[in-house]
Amino acid sequence: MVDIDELVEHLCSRDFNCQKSPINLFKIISVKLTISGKPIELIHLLTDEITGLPVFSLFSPNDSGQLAHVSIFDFNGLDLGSICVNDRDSVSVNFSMPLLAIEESLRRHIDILTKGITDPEWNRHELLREFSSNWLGVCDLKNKRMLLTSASGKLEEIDVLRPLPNNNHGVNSYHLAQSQDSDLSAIASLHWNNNKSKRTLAGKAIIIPLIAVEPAPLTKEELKNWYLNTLINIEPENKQLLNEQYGRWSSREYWIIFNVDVPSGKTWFCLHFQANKKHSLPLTTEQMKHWKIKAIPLRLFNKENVLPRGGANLDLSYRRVALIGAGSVGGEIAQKLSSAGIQNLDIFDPDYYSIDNLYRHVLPEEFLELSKAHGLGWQLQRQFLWSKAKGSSRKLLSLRNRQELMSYDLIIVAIGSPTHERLFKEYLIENDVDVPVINTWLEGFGVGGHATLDIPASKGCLLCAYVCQETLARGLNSNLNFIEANQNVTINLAGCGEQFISYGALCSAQTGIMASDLAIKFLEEKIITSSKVSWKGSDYDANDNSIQLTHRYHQFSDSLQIKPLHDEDCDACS
Amino acid sequence: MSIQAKFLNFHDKIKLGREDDEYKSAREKDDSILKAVKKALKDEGYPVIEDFLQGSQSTATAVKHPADDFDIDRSVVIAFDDAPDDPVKVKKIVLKVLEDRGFKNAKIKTPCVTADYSSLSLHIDIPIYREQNGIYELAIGKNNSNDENKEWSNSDPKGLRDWINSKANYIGSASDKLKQFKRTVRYLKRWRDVKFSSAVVKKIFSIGLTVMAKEKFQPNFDDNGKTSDLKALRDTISAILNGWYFNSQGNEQYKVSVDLPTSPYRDIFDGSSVNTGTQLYNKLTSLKNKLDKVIAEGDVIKQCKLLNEIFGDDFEVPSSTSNASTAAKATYVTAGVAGTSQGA
Repeated sequence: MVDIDELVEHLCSRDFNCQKSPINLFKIISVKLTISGKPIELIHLLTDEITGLPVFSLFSPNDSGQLAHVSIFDFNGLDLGSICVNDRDSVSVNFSMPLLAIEESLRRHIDILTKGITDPEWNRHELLREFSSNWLGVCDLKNKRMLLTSASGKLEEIDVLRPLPNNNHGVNSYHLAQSQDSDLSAIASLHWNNNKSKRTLAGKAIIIPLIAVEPAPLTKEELKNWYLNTLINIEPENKQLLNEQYGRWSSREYWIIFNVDVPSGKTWFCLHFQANKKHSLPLTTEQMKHWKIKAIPLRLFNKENVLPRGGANLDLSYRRVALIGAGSVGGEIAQKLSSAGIQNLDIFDPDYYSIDNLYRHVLPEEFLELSKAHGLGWQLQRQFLWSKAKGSSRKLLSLRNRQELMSYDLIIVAIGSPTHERLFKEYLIENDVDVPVINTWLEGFGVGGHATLDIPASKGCLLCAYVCQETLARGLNSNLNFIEANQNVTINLAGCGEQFISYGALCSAQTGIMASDLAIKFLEEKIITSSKVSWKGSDYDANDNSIQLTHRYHQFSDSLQIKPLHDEDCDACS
Repeated sequence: MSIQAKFLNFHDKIKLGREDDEYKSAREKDDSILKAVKKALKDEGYPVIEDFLQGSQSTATAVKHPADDFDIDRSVVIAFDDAPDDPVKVKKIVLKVLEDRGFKNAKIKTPCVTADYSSLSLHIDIPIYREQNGIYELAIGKNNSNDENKEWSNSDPKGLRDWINSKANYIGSASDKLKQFKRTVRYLKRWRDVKFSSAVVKKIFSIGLTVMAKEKFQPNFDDNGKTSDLKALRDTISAILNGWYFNSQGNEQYKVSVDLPTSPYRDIFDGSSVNTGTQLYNKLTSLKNKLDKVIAEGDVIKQCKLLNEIFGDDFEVPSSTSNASTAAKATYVTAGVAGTSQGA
């Protein structure tokens, strides 16, 4: 721990009015200053070790009015203001020079306070921008959390269902308020028990859109007045509907869920009302006499809220993708595309999930003996709650149906069968099917994997990746491959029909992620020309098995870089 | 279509394989002569224990000559224990076979028995070896050589062939690199046949060009494995010119010297004139400079025109830009099935 006297001396030498606590028991220093004529006092409790940005708290925060980035907390019966300087984990602190670290932190604390005190417009903007986190400051965190599956935020009265008994975690531990316009996947709905047959009805919630909002109250005591003032910001026609329809139902419990646009986007917050006897919804000071009011934490669960938070793209939700191949690479692709926000994913594969697949496939053990495609569809709907993924046992060549294929924005082929893939490509050419296609595969012994994106409207096609680089004729092996053709790369543990190519889950995942990246960039229109991409692994295992590698392998240094696919000697492209 | 496609078309035109139709008559004649030679040697007590092709047919580097003969280098081997002390004795038996079959100019040269079959434009060389425990000795000596100039000389005909066919030094796509080397040799041979007078062309020995090209070969594949014979040829010639094969004689005159890489390790151009060495050096330099121009040229038709000047009319020039970019007809590799390394 830094010596307190040394710290006081240091800060004083930097022109701070710094004193140590007169009580030796507490290693506390106080820094007094004036901002725009307002006296400010910051206190700092010395710690044994500096593990993050040193913390200064605002003494008597209520004297400074409502300041952005300042929240009030109780410290041994004393109100202190916690100042949010920035994400404390995002700074690298010089713990070897604690005096400098504390001084720098003090300056940052003062800067943020100065900004809030001297620039009221900025202060209000920030208070609104951080409405959600400020709201949590007045929430009763002991209350059961509310999960709202609403999409639009329009005025609506909805049922609130209680948590399932004895459920202390997972979605079944939440109060559930489900809007009529929820579009959760069928599997998710089943899993969430979002109907009254499983959960009991707790009461009614009313979703109310606001046209504006004041900054969140600082204390719970202010909630009642703050609520009544907020009602001013309801559109007149909604207010009329509230008075005449939604608030008439008498109940001992009500939830009001507001939503309003703030500088950081749409924010949602919830108030819970409880009365001894049944009353209609309190909308006036007089009606409020019957009710106790609490702010409770609300978790909005709609795709507009959840998907961007996870890095998914809402624009992808309407794109239709066919994935042929639900093996270890296809499974990875299905997972990554769904996590990116693709909902309409049709998965095709005739294969069944077996014990042999367990260690390199994304599906868990409970899907054994089930069709891989159907298993993936089920799993994706369960994990990605708006996914409409579905499985089919059809093979690539049985999909040679122009009308069906034309219904997709993108077709992804992950079957590792060059013969079928070239046959399918010939069908697409002959029948003028101009849907973009990604073909992806990986090679044995961990040497790498590849993906091609064939956009019919641009130069370059799958067959460019099959131009024999020695004869310039249409070849049988991809010229992207790292392993020379006509070598025995299979491992046979149990006789005919039991051969397999040696690669692990890491290789499948790497290939699947690479192909998914290509697919997403195409669907987001970041790639508009036919492209290819490869990743290169080590040659340890190939060398151990005397496997000959191609010139491309030895020269390749563009792993994961997307390159043009077109080969000027491809007859199909010419 | 790329300039590489044009090179491959050119290569298809100039290459001469033993199974090619153009070679059919020569091949049949070779088979027939071999049968007669074997019978004659057996009748004389020297049964042939082995025969094999030597020369460009054995290394797939043969080219069609615009005017001259087809060459056959057919080696025959007798057992060491059966061989007479006088190597010319067995050569005379072979000579008689050729004379009896109506060959013109049949004669015994120092390293072989040779003859021309004019109606088939066929030139045949038959070196004779004796063998014991994998060691080969070549029958050296002419018809009237004295004893000092006649010997069974240590030789390694298969070693030379294997050395040329070796791909041990190529890393990655080794087979394709060996094929590019052989195409490079064929391009050099065709260039020689076009650019040198008939008197000099015979002195620019094919094996000399082949050994230099093999020792200095610079394969050219881009990072995606796509081949460029143009750049490989240019870089190989550059390496040859810098490869100590040309010994300055002053006044920009050169003698060329290339050692066989296998026994007997003699200089292939031993006795070659300054004129031959100088012409070869100057024309190789000119070739390199012209290939640099081709590489710098962006238009395929203009590239083809320059290459046509280098290699002659077998290097075709497309008639127009539209022709040059006309959709290529689908061609397929000749393999019915290829093993794959793919999974998913």
